Amino acid sequence: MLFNSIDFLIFLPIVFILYWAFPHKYRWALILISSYYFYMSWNAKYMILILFTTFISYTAALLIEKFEDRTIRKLIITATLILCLGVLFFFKYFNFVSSSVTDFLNLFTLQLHPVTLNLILPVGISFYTFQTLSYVIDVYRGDIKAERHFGIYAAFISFFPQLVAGPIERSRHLLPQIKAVHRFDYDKAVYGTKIMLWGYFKKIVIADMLAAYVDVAYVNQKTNTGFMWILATFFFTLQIYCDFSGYSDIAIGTAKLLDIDLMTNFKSPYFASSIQEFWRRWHISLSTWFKDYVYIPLGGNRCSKVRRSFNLLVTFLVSGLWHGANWTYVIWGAVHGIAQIIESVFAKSLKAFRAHKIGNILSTIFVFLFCSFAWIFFRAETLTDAVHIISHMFTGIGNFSAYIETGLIALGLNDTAALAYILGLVFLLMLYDYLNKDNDLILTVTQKHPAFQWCFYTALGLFVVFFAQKGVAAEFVYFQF
Amino acid sequence: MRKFIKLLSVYVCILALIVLFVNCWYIALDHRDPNNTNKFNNVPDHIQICNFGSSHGLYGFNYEGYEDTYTCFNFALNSQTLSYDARILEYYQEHLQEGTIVFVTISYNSFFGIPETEYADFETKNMRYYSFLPANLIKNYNIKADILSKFPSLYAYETLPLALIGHYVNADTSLSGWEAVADEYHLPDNTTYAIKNHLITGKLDENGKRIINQEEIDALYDILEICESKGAVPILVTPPFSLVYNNLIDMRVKDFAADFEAVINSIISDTGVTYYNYAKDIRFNKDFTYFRDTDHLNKMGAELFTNILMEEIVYPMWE
Repeated sequence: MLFNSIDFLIFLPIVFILYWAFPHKYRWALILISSYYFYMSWNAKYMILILFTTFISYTAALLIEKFEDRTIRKLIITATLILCLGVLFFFKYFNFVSSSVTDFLNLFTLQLHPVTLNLILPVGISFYTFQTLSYVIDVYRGDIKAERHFGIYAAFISFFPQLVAGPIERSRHLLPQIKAVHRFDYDKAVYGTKIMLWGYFKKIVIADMLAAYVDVAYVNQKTNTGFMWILATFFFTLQIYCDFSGYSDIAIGTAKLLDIDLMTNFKSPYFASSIQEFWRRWHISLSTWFKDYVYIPLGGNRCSKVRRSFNLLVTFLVSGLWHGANWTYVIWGAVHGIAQIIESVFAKSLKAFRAHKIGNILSTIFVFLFCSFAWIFFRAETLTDAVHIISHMFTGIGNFSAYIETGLIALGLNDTAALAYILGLVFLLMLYDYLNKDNDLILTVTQKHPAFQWCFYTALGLFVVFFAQKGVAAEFVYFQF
Repeated sequence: MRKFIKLLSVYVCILALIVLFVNCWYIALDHRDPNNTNKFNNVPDHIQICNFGSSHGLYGFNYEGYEDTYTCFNFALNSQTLSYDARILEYYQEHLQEGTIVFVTISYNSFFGIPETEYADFETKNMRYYSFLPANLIKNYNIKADILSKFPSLYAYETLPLALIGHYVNADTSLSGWEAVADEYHLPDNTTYAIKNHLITGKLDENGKRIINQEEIDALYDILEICESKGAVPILVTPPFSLVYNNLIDMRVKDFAADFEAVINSIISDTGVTYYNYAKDIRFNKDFTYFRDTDHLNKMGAELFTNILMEEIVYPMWE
């Protein structure tokens, strides 16, 4: 069930009404049932996997708390990590590892064929696996107490707004909210509806529209050249942001309707003035997860500069791999990791540069361009394709007007109306993000006169209704993870 | 919570009212007919001559000059399959009469390829049928598409603001590009692209063998059956194509001619239907001025083709 489907528009009001009609002590059960129903609408049999991961992590946490012996506790957590990550590895990485090992061995002219499995990647497996692991690790570290109620714990893991594409919630933040007594909060519900509206605007108006142009470029990624790649790259930069942040907004808004607060997952990332700041604003739940459970355990920045750089690189390589079972994602992660290492080497001079207004603006533009460049690896199917795209972006630039015109026509943008429409939407998006960078724009608008708010949100709603792509509901980009 | 539900209800009502208003405004102002489906609002009774088909039928027949004397109608639409020809005929069969001449355009790709429902753009193409066919005759009918077809403003996207200020009020509503003459310089590229679409993409299995589309062949049989029941006279016809188009097929598409002839001959021997193949007619082949592109006649070419059909087939039949 996609957030932008008729099924969800029927599902949500039913869950909303039942949730507030149910007495508090049974609400966890409603969350659990509705979440599993939501997940099973994708593929019913994969419910077994989330149930398995839930059971393993629940049991492991209780056992970790029960035994005081460090060795036994370590054994339990190791077994849990192996089991939970094993499931993730099996469904997501088996074929990738198999073909990579085979390719490596074939370098020695062994003529081997990779063992591949015909498996569908369960939706959201990367997200709920990480959520369960963070819970078990937190219990192991003594940061939280193990949850004794299996149903409540299962509801926490499967909570439908964030189940399939995040935000990856920490147990100390979400679990108490599942258990808490909730009273209907009018202001929170209205806020939730508003943020959902923005999410739908970003996802089904902007992201789906840009996806059509990006797909035109990438369908012949081995042969296309020129300005169309510049356009496609920028479009994908915006597409992936609108797709993913739009989903997160819908998830956050949906949770608010149930008086539950999920963490902010995106905070105007393309207005970051450094790569480091970008990762404090982009997919915040994932980047903080990797910081807390990979970077810091490796030593973080409490070590030599060389070791710190190593920790940073490993974290980003793993992060890249989390995004997909392909070397392109690893390279994408590596590009960001290396960029952060370079940034840390020149930290003082860069900080001084950014202290000036012009320097800050130039840094922001640079970070945006850098991220756009890195997204090429994320979107291309193979490294060869990515290299082809990068090396052919400026083909034909000698004849500049023809270079621009050919690129526009190749992408189907030979119509002034279409171009104006895209630029208008991009401007709206950038304006929203700029105003939202260090503020909460929705709260700011809420403080305006009611007439202004009605006009504003009616206009936004009409935009969503009229300009949303109406074809078969497009899958969110991050569902492949 | 009641306050919230009230607020949401008011908001949804306001949106719905504005959508309804804008949609009515858009329908009133937008006189374009990009899918050529407005003609189905005025299908005449007692049709004497008509044709079905895809774009080859849409652009291949020009009844101007005959409409004063005979009741004619062109049921063809771009990329229309025989299966939809059959459905349209089934719905409009009462508009035929005893002796109606029914030209069924047979394109080279009419009998081959994967089912049309498996093409990525099928749902988009299928939307046009919601405006004039009943639900039971629409493939993969779904109520969402039916409702949305009544709200064309929801599909207008970036052209909506322009349409609402009347930008399209005076747009030409005749067949787009029908009067154009094929550009001889670009004809080879156009031909390569056309043949790839008509005979290659979705038309060959993994072994390179031509996929026979039994659904389309069965649909042709249905058309012939309906014609028989109404006393109409079905005539299969392949319209003229340019020399470049025909030559490229003969050179590059392996065994196509044999596959096509096998199917068409089988249908003819089963049903006794008459078939006229004007694909390589020398009156058209070498003269690019009759074509708007490599495989579609322009207005002048369609006029000549229709005259030929009338002189060579229809009039002798009526004598």
